[in-house]
Amino acid sequence: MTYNMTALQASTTIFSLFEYANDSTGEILFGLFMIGIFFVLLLAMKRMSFDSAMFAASGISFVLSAVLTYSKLLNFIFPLIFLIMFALIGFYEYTVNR
Amino acid sequence: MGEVLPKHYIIGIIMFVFIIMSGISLLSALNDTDPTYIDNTKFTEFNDTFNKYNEITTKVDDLKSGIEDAEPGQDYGTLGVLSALISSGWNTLQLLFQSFGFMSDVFNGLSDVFGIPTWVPVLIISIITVILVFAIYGAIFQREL
Repeated sequence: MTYNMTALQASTTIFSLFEYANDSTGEILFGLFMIGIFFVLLLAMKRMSFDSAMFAASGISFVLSAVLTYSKLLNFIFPLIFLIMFALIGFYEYTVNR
Repeated sequence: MGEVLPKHYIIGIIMFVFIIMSGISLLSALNDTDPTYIDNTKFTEFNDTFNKYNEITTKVDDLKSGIEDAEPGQDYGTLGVLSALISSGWNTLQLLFQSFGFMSDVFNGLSDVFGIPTWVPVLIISIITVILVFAIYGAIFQREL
């Protein structure tokens, strides 16, 4: 089965293109983007200790995913998961790894 | 990685609540502009499980009143002098909280003057209260707690 990848008449903006791609993949496109962004942030901050990098990466991912959820591109569970991760690592940082 | 003391554990819990509260505030701010945003049962479950703001502030207040309400015994016969000394030392330690009342007003003023949400100064006050309570217990038990 072939797809006409150039048939973009229905998409007039970049956002609607991404929205279409996200809808066609059953809303997992931006979910996977967020997971990818989380790991890229984690590796980008490898100069810091692993715990601090996790803390920062989960915090940034939480804010990003909250905004993406607001634009209806991501399931609401993503910001909640990143928030839990952020808070638990925060607890660990302030308790064990001061 | 240092030694984990009870004080650090409680401060860690307060920081945990602080992060959860700030996250929920951000989500609520987004929800104000689009009321359909938090239209999810998962959020309600999350809020019930993780939002422990009231519990932690009440428990830290209990820690504080444990120190404020405690009075050493007054009459111990021949040990009366020692008891008096303990009483005066104890009153000095209790003074820590009376003087902290000033800082508490300053932090609460932050929310009035700058529009900072109330839970921010309350949690900062809780952290300072925990530090003072454990400093007093540390002085009594002669070791860091």
